[in-house]
Amino acid sequence: MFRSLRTVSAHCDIPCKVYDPAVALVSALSVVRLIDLILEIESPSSLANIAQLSRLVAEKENQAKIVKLEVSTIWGDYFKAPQIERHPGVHALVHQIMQTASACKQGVDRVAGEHLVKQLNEFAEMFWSSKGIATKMVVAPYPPALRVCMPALEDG
Amino acid sequence: MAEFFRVEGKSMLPTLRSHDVLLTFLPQNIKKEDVVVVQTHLGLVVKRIHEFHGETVILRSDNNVIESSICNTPIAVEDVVAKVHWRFRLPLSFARL
Repeated sequence: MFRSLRTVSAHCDIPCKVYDPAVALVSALSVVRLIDLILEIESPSSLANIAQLSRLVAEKENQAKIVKLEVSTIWGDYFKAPQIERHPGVHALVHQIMQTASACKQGVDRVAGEHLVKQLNEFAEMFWSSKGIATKMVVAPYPPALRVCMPALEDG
Repeated sequence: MAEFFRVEGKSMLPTLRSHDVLLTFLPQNIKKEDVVVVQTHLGLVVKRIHEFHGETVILRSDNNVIESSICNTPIAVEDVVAKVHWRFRLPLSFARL
């Protein structure tokens, strides 16, 4: 009749997974900001400027790597058959983001940085749409003050 | 056959809390929105059926703010080992699911 009491898991996951494209978006904004700062260095002739330039370039590459890691994680772990069925363009978009992020690592083209932010906005809109959550475009309240896609959440 | 389970975790809030006790029966006539116990690579997991496709089901958590790797992916119906009928909680309360 009744068997012994067993435990059943209602954990969110092992480990828990909380997905949000905001991390990638902030990193993309950082890439643009770092490109701006690199372009502001008038001459890398002084030792101080060379040190500053090295630091900015290293951080730009790091932030672009974060973009790739965050987007590929959401794409690989969160997007499954039902989401992909509703958003078949996600594969092409993620591939484009990878390529643009690589271009941002390689160069100091601000247009590439802005393009990366634009692609991430598309990705964020797709992500939130897959959850049935509406989005809105807002201007980031810090440099480079570009428009970013955010979920339109209700007050808690 | 009836079987009791004890819940651990927050993914089914507000329906189920940690330490709730579930009375389940063998899964017969399962349908969308049923709360079920599923055998997964993570062990026994309790989730709600989001979609029912005959031979597979898509599961979801009631707690919308968190994700689970076993949700939103097809799970074989034969991996559904029990259907939850009653939930018991201390201080004493119970609810039919």
